[in-house]
Amino acid sequence: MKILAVDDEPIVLQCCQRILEDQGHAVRLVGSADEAIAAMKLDPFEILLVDIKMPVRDGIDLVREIKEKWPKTSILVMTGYATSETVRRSRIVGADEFIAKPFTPEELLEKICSILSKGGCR
Amino acid sequence: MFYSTRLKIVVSFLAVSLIGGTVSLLVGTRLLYTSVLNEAGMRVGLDLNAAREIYNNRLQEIKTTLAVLSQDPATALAFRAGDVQRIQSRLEIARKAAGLDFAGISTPAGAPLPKGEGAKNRDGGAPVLNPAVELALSRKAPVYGTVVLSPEYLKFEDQDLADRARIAAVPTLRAASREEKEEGSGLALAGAAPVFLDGKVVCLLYGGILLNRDVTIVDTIRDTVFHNETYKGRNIGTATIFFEDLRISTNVLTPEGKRAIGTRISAEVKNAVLDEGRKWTDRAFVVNDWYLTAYEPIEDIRGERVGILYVGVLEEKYGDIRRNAFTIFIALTILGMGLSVGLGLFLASRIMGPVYRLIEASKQVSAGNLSPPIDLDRAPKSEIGILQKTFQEMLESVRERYRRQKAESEIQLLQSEKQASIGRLAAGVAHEINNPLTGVLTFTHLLLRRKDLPEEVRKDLETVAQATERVRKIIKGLLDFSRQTALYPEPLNINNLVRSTVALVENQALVKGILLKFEPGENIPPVTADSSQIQSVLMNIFLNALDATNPGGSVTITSRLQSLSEKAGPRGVELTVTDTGCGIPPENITKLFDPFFSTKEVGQGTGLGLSVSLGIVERHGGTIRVESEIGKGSTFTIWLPVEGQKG
Repeated sequence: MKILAVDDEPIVLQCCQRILEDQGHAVRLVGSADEAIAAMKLDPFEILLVDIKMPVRDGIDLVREIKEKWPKTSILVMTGYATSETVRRSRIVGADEFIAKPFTPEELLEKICSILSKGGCR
Repeated sequence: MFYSTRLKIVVSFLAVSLIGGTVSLLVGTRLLYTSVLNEAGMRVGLDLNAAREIYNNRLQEIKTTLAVLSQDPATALAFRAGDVQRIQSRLEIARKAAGLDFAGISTPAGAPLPKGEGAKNRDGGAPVLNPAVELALSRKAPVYGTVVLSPEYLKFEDQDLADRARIAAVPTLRAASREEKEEGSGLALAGAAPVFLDGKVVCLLYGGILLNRDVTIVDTIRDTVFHNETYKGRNIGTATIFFEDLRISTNVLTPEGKRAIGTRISAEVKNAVLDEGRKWTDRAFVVNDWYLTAYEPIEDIRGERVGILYVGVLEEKYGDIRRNAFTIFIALTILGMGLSVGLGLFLASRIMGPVYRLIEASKQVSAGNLSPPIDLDRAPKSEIGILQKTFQEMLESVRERYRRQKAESEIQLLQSEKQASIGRLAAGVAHEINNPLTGVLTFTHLLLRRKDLPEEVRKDLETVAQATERVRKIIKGLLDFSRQTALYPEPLNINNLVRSTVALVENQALVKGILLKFEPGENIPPVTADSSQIQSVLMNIFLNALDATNPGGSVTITSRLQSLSEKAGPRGVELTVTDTGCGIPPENITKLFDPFFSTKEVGQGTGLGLSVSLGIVERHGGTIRVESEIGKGSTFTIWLPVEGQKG
């Protein structure tokens, strides 16, 4: 699958890349919401990993826009600080899944699987 | 109704002054009047003495006149010489000089000689006698005093006198009635002095004043004793000579203003003075007015009571004194009342001033202003002052407490802010750490996937992985801690808590048509827990159960005392919530307590409920587990340690 990862933290992007490329997915990495939009415009991705807390423009906003423009996209929201508020906001804008940082490769893959099959994985 | 203290003070003052004033008015005027009357009475008594002196003086004049002439040898010689004329003319001169009404010469037999030419001459017939002459003859000595003269005698002496003597009795109030309507006799001051020649009485000289209708004596009395004082046009002082009980000489006036000649004295006085011979002093009604009066009997030359001497003082004057006194007293009372009202108001304001200020200050304090801008410093040296001081002290202690509380709450606020900021700091730090930690965790796991690792390297990597897991848990714990609310544990009756929570969701169950029942266990000891947090856990699970169940289904809650693991382990309470819903698919059961997990639609649930509930239960040292079967239902089991036990 074509996966776009959006996070202002390079190490996290690196993790996503290593984990997902190992599985054979094609991963593109961007560091901000604007770059993500630009990338999507060039070549829409099927799955996005979006970090919520980003400077300039936060992940929630990005999710909203992505979902508006490319409704078929599945979005996994990543957050280092999970609160009910964050979850609520994410759900409202249409995020499909959530994952809390830090995560292990297994956890991430499980979430991706769940997105892909929209149901049981393993 | 509100009766202000000021009103009470003023009314009290007023009442006191009014009562005091009235009492002193009544008592005072009465005392004053009584003493004035007493004084007046005494005075009248003295006045009577003075009147008597004047009466006697008049007699003395007669005496002197006659004495001079009778003792003059020339008179006797003239008589022997038979020169009666001479004596008569001398006598006449003396008579006029002395103002006597009559005078004459009398034979040794007592018969008065005719007056002169042209005078009627009475020869023969019964001699008309002058009592003074008679007595003087029998005693052969001069006689002076009051006499009663018969109408005939008077006529003999002078027709005018006889006319004068005639007094018609006028009916008067309170007088004793008499049969005669007219009096003819006369009362007179008279004297007779014998003229001696060679030791023998050759003749007598006599003279006198008719008191009937006389004005000189009574007016002299009035003028001398009473100084002719008048009161409202009437004379204050009056004098009267009575012939028996008939007023014959007086300056008591009738309402028409004439002398009240002919009026009679009251029977009471007549009895006392004329009949019994007593002096009389009292207030009496004289002709037309009330007088303070004094009466004494007049005795004739023989010692018989023939008349009454009277002086009287118009009582009205004293009545007016009483009225004036009354008025003055009333004025004083009113003045007193006015003063007392003024004093009362002044006193009230002095007293109430501080009280009002105190009231004002109290109002301000209850309105919330703990430093009322009211000057409470001018404290009177009295109970009010103490009240003020106490009020200020109380206010000060209230302010102190307020300050302390504020300080405490500020400290608390500071602390909670600190906590919050620490929390935020922690969260921020944790958040920051999470990113690089992701890297560590991910790459360690990725490394562990490799198949070409030497055993020692693998082992070392596993150590790193475990350590990193520990770090993850620590960070998660830190985040949870910074998010959590404080725990206020207390001994809790689990059954009661379940019952009250069931009560909260009963309606929803009813509306949805789900049977909700609670089967409490017995003898469950108290659990040390924060009741509101446990209640929110129960609510969470109950609501989930209700949501999962269709109408017609049921949700059953049980509680029992149970050890953690069937046989051994710490004792606790096991709560089960069983629903007959659709059940939970096995793949979701593991994710159930995932903070983000939710099978609900967007916007319906937060998915955070069960993870928070688990957190709460775990913080209490308990556990939650789930069993479920698709199509049959699910059972959530909460276990909490009992008091003193740990999970």
